[in-house]
Amino acid sequence: MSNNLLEIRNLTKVFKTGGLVFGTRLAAVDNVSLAVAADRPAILSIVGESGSGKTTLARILLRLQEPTSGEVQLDGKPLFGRKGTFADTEFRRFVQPVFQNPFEAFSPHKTVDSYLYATAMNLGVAGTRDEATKVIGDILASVGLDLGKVCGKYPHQFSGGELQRVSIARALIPRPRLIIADEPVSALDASLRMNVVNQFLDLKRQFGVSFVYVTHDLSTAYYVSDYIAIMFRGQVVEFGPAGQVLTAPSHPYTQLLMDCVPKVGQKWDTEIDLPDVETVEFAATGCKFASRCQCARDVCRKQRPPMVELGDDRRVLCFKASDFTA
Amino acid sequence: MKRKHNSRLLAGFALVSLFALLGFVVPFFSPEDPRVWNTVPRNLPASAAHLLGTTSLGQDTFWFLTWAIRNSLIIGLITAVLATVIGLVVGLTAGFRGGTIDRVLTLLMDSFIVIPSLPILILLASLMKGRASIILVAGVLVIFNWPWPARQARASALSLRERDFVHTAWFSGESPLKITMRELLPFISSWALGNLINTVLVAVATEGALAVIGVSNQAQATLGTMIFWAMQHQALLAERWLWIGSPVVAIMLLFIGLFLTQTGLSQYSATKRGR
Amino acid sequence: MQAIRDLQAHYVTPTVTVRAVDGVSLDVREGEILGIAGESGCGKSTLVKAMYGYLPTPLTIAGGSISTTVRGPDGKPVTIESPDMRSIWWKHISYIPQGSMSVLNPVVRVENQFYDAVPKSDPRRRDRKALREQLVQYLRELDLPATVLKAYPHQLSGGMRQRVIVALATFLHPQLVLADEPTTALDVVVQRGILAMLTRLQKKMGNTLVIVSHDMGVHYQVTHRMAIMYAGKIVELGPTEQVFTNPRHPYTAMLIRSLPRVGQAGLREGIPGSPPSLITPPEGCRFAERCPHATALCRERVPDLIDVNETHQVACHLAPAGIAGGLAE
Repeated sequence: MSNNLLEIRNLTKVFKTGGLVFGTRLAAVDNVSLAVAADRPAILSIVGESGSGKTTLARILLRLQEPTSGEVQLDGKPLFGRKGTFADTEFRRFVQPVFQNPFEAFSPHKTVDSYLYATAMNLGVAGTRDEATKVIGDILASVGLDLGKVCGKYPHQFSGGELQRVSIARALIPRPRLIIADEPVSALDASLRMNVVNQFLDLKRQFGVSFVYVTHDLSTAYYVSDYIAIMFRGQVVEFGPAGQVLTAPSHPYTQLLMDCVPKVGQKWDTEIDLPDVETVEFAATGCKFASRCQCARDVCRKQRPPMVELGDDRRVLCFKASDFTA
Repeated sequence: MKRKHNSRLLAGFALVSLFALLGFVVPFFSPEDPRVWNTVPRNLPASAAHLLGTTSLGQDTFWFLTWAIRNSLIIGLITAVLATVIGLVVGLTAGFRGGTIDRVLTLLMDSFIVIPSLPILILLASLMKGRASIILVAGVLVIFNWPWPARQARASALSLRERDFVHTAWFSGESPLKITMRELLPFISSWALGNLINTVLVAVATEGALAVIGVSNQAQATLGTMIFWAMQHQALLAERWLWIGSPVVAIMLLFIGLFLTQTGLSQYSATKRGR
Repeated sequence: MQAIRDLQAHYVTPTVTVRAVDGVSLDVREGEILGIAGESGCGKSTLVKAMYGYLPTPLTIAGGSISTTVRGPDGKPVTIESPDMRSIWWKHISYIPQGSMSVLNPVVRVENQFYDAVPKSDPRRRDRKALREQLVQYLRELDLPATVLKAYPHQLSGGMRQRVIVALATFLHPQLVLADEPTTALDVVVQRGILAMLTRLQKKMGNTLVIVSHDMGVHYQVTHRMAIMYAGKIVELGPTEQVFTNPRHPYTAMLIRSLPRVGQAGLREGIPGSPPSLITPPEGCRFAERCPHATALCRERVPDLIDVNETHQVACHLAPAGIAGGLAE
């Protein structure tokens, strides 16, 4: 059996919040298991509210944070641990990030092309500056930018959309197999998001690169992903092929998310329950969504729900679903 | 508003330039080593031949003053540059790397901050009494002046290292050293410059204070030793204003010049940022 | 409520002048929910700041006027011109700025921030206990847990902070509430909650609400009337339903078309190009460069805002003929 491109097994990250004496422990990522197959490039979206743990998960995948327990493997090789793990350069050639705010992703004191050249020369893509210029020029062209217009400029001289494309271009230079994009379109206007997201599709086709697209924007997630994982308070509550999960959601939370997207042509007519203070929801025994769930029953509040396989590569963390499959 | 900062910076710069001139250019023209006693008649008032008169030791006050300015400035500059560079490198590295490196370096920083500098300096100066060159004096001053910029740099590094552009730089393959210097350093460079100017002030003042109480190298000519010798010879009582007055006024004007330059610079960079 | 006539609000610095709002005329009617839509940099935030009377240097009103009419303490209408707005801040008109997550004082507990907002002249200021009860009651109405009162802002999540800010901005029941991107950077659930909060308050109190957002979906759900801004000018103005079903300006049509819709997998297109410089705006229609229907006239002359019908206005030379695009598509 060949390795999965990305394999996450029982990943948990616990934070201690609050004061020294009275602090509580919060599982920002709670026993998450996900996989992206290696046979063809795919886009996996991780969708969730703020506080769902998706950003923490993204940071762990980028090795910017260490997990409390569980493992992450890329092409069969573990990300963490002493032995047999990725060397820095090797890792950087395999995985690259795209961050949420393009103006934060570059230092205001440096030109953006300094990062592009650094990536090209440090990660072994080009040996000389001239070679690097050629490579960078090509990659910028593939995201619709002209090297001449990018060279020598500082971040503030670009618009948000353009700068995000530079960011994506930089990530592509070492031809990574996986790009982790943490809310790459959230800082952009709704009308500009499609441009960036279309770019992902195009790049997946052209370069064969897979994406982990972390977002809270369901519409773009639906549009661009092959697979979707819905996260709530640190847990993956639903997983499956994007089209199916969003058009026929199984978990009540997914349904809530779908209802809350402001759709043109369909007005909101019902009231919804809003989230309580974060720490309260995180600390719930049983299902963390129970306090807001329309279908909640006693067992939901007392016990942690099981992960139920629904077939067709779909999974859901819910007691309601287990009724049907039992 | 614009005029205000310009005049401050200009005034400060003018004063400092004057001192630089007096300290580094003018001494080349001195007729002989002004430190040597009895080269000229004692206690003469100001005249064309002796611009500020002469001292009780038979030295030309004016030429002695220019040498004193030179040496004080050298001490100030060496201390400031070394202390700032060492402080920045240590502080940024400690903040950025974290872990054991941070703990060790912070221990070092905090120890030096906590140890009272004046008694140690007096001790060191007494041990080296009479034999310390101005370079050595500067060196000693560096030891007590690097922790402050180091702590500031560390604090900056700690807050900056979580910013996305640092991660971008890392994923661009940059080494920690490069990241420290090219990503983090620009954010504290203007503060560091201000601190450097301030350290010149502090160094000159510290050396001066030590000299006045008699623990610096008395054979050298610095603003502090000048005051020391003047006081030794009852210049105040004898109303030899030029001898004791000129180094005091010089120190004051030098400080004012440095202060104006530093605040003028920070005003200038604030208006550049659009405030 | 508010009459804006040919407003010019510019950022004036020694080196450049950015003409962020360049000739805007608009009426804000009492009791309505008005939406102002447009991309980043179109001037909508500046317009709202001017409407509130918040003009930090280098923002200045270079031309035109804003008159605000509020009901005074005795119930009679009082008209205030823009320079004197400060006197009615918070009590009669409140403003929720963009990026409000950092608006709360980080070292003061939430409940004290509410107390600080009550004007000194108000008798409630002296009776803390009664005020607290009122607060708890008000928070309950807004579906906010009372526990937030004792918290410091950093202990609350972004969404929770934003809800607190909306509560803070509305708890003195101002007659006009200006919200600049109140839900940007928040997830859909909290966004829906906050918009519900604002609309529920509006229905109950009958106040006027102006919402600025680049998200057309938000406008569709919540606003009665909307104004689309582009490069410092209003290009379309009308009842929300009408603007969506029958957009008259090419820009509006493209904005609506660029929204992805769940359930529709077809290729969606963003809008190519970028807005013109507000420092040296082009002659003629500012959208001409990106407009697929632009003619020579468009590039020469700035179109005025003309009536399409009694309630709908558009600034486009091609308006009478109209263009396709919208919900119908």
